[in-house]
Amino acid sequence: MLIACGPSASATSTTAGAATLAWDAVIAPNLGGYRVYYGTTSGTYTQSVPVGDVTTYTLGGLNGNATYYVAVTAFDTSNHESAFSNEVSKAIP
Amino acid sequence: MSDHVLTLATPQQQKGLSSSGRVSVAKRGKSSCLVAMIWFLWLTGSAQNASAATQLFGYDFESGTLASKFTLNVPTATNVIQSLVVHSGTKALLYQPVFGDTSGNLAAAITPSTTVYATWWWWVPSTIVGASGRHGFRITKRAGNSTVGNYQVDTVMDSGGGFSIDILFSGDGVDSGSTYHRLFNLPTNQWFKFEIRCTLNTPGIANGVLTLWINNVQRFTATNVLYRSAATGMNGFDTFLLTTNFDGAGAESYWYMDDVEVWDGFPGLSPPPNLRVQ
Repeated sequence: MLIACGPSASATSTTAGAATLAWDAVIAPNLGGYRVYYGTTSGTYTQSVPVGDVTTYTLGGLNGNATYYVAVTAFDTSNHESAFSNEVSKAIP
Repeated sequence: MSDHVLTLATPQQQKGLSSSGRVSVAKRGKSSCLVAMIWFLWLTGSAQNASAATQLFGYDFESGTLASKFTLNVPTATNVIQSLVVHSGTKALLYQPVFGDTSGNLAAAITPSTTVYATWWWWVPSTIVGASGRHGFRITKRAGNSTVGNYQVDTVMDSGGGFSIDILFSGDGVDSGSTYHRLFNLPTNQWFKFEIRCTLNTPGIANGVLTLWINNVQRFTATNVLYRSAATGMNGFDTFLLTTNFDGAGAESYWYMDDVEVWDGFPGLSPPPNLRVQ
């Protein structure tokens, strides 16, 4: 069950090497989808992946013994992209 | 007496708007402000869809002076605000450097940002003569007091003749740009809406992004740009300027520009709220 409110991150079911993310939907008539950005330094996202028009996504292939910082953007059908969401972090054991 | 009211319009209809019919601000009576705002919030269902982007620069050329907006240099007398050719409102910029002028740019500092979204309207006359490397609209990282830049993105008119468009960006991580990406020619004597989005790469990793739209159609994108090397890994784009090396080759060397906006993200789309780890 998702935590329905509050911008702070909470870890409830993350497994080693993966983190499942959730966010609230963006209401826009021309929404194209979302893009997940992540990296091991806060505010610096070295990798990204487009995930389509979904509001949950499991980020896999994460290295152990590292903390990952994640933010999400929305993009429209013309590929305009929003600013970053709030950032969350997850330590991978 | 006037105040600001939220209104929905297209860029063709009013000043200061971005694409996608986003909400912007126009001058209207104060009494209608609150009603319009309540209507808008009801229509969208939530206030959380307000743009999270911050405007770094904006000028519709309707008031003020070039010197008050472009404070990094002293605009030349040949760059003027005029009323003959305008995109919207009653005024627009005429850029017309004198012969031999290769440095008469209009430059402004912006808050350093690793992502820049910019939009502007451009009108080029049929008399324009192609020439190599006529820089037009540049987002850059200043090198000291120079607007040449440590890394940059340029929208350039090239030697293809007419309104020929190149996109130029630093690709080796250390200089101001060395590779021209020839795109196409556009018709002259009409307004075109340009948009670019630049996201800096991680220093030393070729993962920077550059996208160009013209009249709301994506015309170019690259996702592996090496704007900056590990050694030049500085803070973000900090300068916006209009043209260098335009060179004032003759009376045909001028263009008009209107409704310039620079943001730290696309203002017409909200970021996803409430990201969390499940």
